[in-house]
Amino acid sequence: MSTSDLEQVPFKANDFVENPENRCPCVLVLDTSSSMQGQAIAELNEGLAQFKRELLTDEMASKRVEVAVIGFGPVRLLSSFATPDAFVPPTLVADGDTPMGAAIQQAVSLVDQRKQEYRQYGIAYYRPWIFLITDGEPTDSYTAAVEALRDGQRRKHFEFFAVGVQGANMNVLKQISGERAPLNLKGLQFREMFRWLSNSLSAKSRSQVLDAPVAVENPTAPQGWASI
Amino acid sequence: MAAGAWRIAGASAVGTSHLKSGAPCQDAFRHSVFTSPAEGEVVLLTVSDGAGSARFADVGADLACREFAANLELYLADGNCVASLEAGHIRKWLDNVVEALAVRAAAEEAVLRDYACTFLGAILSNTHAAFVQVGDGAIVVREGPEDWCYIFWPQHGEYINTTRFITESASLDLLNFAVTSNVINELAIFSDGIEPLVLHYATNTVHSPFFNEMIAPVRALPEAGFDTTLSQQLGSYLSSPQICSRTDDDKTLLLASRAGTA
Repeated sequence: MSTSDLEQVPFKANDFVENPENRCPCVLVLDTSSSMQGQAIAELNEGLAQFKRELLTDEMASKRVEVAVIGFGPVRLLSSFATPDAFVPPTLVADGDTPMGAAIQQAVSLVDQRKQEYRQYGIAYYRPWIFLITDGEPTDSYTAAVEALRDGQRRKHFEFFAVGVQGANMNVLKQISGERAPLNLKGLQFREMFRWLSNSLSAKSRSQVLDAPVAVENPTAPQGWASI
Repeated sequence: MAAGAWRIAGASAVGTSHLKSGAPCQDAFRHSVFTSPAEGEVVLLTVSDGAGSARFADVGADLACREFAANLELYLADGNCVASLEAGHIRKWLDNVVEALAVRAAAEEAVLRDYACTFLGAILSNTHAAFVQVGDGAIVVREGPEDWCYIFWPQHGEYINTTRFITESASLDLLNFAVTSNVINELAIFSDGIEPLVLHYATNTVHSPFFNEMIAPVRALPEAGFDTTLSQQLGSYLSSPQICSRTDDDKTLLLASRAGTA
């Protein structure tokens, strides 16, 4: 019997019963390959912890935003969808190669699965975000991932964002991203990036305006965390 | 018991996302009182929510309310009753509304999509009520002493921030229409900006306490008709932080009661 079986509580109200608010899901797909070792992974971990803190400061976001984390190198679901109060930022360890293709595919199916759960419990939801961060290039075949992203974006199943850390192969990332160009992270400004992501998701989680510019500030402005 | 005359209050408030982008309030509402040769006083209440992404949505929403009213006025003037309304009439009137929007679009060198808006309408005679809905927002009526029910559930797309508009002919095919002889003495019509405060999506139910509170001052109005002062107070409430913390959208709430003693 695994630890998780032992920890199962037989009587626990479903999260959706306790909190029937609309949901605004976001999957973080994070590069944890060996090239991220050192300061990069440390800053990313610090950024993740701050992400949780910032989401908690917004009353609506703390009830509506749901975060899941997939690490790749190898591909692992490090955290299932959880609202900020229940989200435990995983401690990322840099190790292994960069199976980005498989990680993207898992993110796409994770989003589909979550929507089914929302529908099953009558929870209204926003278009999910898939947010990829990498400092390299795929070491696996990514043809199927590109296809899944193209298809999902065309059918408005989710929105996809890609961020390249120094060393990332931006040409490949461009190929993968499709309609929305990938962004270059300035230095290791993960904390600034996560602050932006938290603000954007907070705005989105209270929005009833379709296609409203939910990004509260332009990340590629001179003071922003990214460049094109 | 003869019903009293309708007391009405209504207001729209611009959403915080529109304030940020400098966009105008794109919701519109309207009330009209007609005297029908067949059945006396008939009241029409309409709310239309212009699409946030449409250039002239504010014009579209206002025009939709006006044109619909003009169609009902003609229908009643011809000696027709609310009781004999059918979905076919409403479809024809909405087609006329869309035609008026298309004419406006042509004059402004715009396209029909630039005037996209939803439509909610309640037509109330002394004996019958008819309801129309295309898109989100909802009409709710008081059924018990303190119980409110929705007429149609808001038409949202897959995502909570998507809906249907009268400018899409596929949406008109899905228009909701109902006519009833149930006595309705109090109702509220609201755009989707109000939804998160008053509807429970998980259980498809109406949060009745909200409407019980909101209708009380309308019910107590000494004079029949639309009350400007109370409507201004309603407008201030809709712009207050406790509402704006729940939604960034434009909000419209139209309240009507004939349950007073007058």
